[in-house]
Amino acid sequence: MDKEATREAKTAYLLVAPSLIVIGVIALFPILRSLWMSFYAIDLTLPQLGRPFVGLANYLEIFTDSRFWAALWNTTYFTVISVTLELVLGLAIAMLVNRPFAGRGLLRASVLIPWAIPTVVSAQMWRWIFNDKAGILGSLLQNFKILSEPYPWLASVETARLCIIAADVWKTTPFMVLLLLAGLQTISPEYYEAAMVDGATPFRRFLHVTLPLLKPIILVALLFRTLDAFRIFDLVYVLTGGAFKTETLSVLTSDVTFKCSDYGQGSALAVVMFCCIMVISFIFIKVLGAKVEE
Amino acid sequence: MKKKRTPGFVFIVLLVLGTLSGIRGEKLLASSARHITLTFSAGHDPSGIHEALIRRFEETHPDIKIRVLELPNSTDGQHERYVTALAAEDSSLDVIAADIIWPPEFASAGWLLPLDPFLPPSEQKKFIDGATQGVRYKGKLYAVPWFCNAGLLFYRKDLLEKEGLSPPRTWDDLLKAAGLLQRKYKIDGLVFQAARYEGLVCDFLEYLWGNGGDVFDKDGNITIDRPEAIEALQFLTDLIHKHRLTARAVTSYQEQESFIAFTQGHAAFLRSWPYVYMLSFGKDSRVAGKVGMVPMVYNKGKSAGTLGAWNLAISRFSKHPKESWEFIRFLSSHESQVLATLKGRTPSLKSVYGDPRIKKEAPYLSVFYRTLAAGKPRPVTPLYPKISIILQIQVHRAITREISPEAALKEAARKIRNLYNKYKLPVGT
Repeated sequence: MDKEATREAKTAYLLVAPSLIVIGVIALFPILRSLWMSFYAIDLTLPQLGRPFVGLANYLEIFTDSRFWAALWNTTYFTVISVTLELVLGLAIAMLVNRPFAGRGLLRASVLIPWAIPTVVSAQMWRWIFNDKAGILGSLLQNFKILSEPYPWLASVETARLCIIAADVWKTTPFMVLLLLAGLQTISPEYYEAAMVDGATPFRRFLHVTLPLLKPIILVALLFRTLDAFRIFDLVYVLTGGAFKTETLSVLTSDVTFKCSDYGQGSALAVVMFCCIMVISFIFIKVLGAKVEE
Repeated sequence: MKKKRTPGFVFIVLLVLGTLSGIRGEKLLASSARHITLTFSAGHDPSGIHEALIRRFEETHPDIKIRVLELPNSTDGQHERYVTALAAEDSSLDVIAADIIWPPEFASAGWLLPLDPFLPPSEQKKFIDGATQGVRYKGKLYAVPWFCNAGLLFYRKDLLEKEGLSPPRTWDDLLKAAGLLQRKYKIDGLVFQAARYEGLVCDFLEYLWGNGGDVFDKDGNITIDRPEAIEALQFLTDLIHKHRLTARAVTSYQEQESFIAFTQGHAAFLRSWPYVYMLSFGKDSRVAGKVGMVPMVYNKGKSAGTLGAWNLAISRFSKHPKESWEFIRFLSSHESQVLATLKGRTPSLKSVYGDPRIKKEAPYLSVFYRTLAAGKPRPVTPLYPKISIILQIQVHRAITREISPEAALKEAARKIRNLYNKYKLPVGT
């Protein structure tokens, strides 16, 4: 029996070995390598300076730079607002398309279109929608006499971040719809029937049947979207380039790493972002009890 | 399960076999034909100029084949690719089409061959001065200018003529003319590139130079926070907020947006690059034939447009430097440049501007020549990309009135000083 068990265990290890190796090479190695690089001064364009060990200097420089704190705040702000909006809209749309009606299949498929367009492409599209002179948003509002003159959507602190949030909500709500719809379909209609027999209003049915049963899916969807939103890069890069208080951690990291070729400090920023994401995941999984395994 | 895996496995085996046979095939071809293949890397060229020139070169040089490595369109994207490839000492790059701001950086890293042995000083003088100045590092030439650009001021010829105004030369002229046209025709006085990106630095430097300022002086001092620089940034800020001569969204404008605003007839003046002139005749343009151009306006200094140029350089890791030079010499020759100029490029050789074919076909080039001759390169230092980011952020903060021009430039000077300290380099080098 014991021998049998160890042999089985050995086979099991052998079978998972390829995936472990793949994970090690493509996930673990780059993370450890970034961590290692973050303790060195590495500038690819200045090889004559060598790669001296600088300890925590890269981190010190990050934490004393107001640009980093602004980026952290902007990223958090953006993540909270857009994920909240996406959840509310996503849930509403998922519940709508969960009902049987003519053309439901077509609608479900078309909901996915924004999500299927590469973000850089849709970001360029939004950049022209928000253009003050040639943009459709401005000209619609002017036609309806809501605006009397062109408004600089992408050139003011008040609206630039809203533009980015709008473009993100437009793009990723379909993802929420898809996940939540899958969850809604697992809820047995019997629960609703029972609730109706008890005389529950639609609102109470939503509050006491739909929400509790959907909670595990909602948490997983929120976790995915939060992690994704926290890394936002393309929309900001194309729409504002990080100006008007829209610079996020990813945009800052890319600036430092690629435009300034400062790979040491860029790695340190990447490590800081990694830690933020760990914290977010921890909160979702341990504190809120999101079950990602299922 | 088993059944599902088989096609995938077969596919992978075929893929591996295919790759192996491909490698073998290529080697066989190379050895039998006995020619050298050079890699020419550049951004996408929709004009077809590269293709035409390469065909000519291969006809006259049967022993050299040119492989074109097409890089991303954005300059930043190309820069990133070069930095990672050259830092890894990749020998597959030979001739590189380099933006004017890269050669000092790449040369200090030891990635480019000095070209003085190939091109003696007497030959170097035949190129636009500012352009060769920008690609020099520690006295040596690291690239040959190919095509040049300098910032210019475009204006609505029709409106200026109607008002009996002559094209502006100074800041004050611009204020008066733009203000008058804005009030009278209900359009913006002036548009330019003021989003937070490289283009903003190009635009700001022109006001800085035009007011007698600079980022560094000759003695290695940082002069970006001197009064003449603060005055220049104040003027730029005032154009937007005090005189309100620009579109309100100008602080989010890159080349595209400012071009659309001007060619759709929404603006009286536009600061941009030479390509605008040719494209203003396009079928979507509302100002075809109504566009004039003059060198950039100035105040206490001299008129100077920021130089943008594409240059040809040889990778230090190239296995064929001699053949690479042969190719560069061909591309930058008078004849090649005449051909390219007739298709819309702006040449780097002074002699091309005097060529009778050019004078006949492209008379507008005389204005370009004047601006190029007075044009200035951005600070020539390997740290330029880092300095540019500092200027982009601080200048943008000032023109969006987050902080005062003085505070912005003091901060920029402090950061630039820290940068030189961090990399232990003498300031300005």
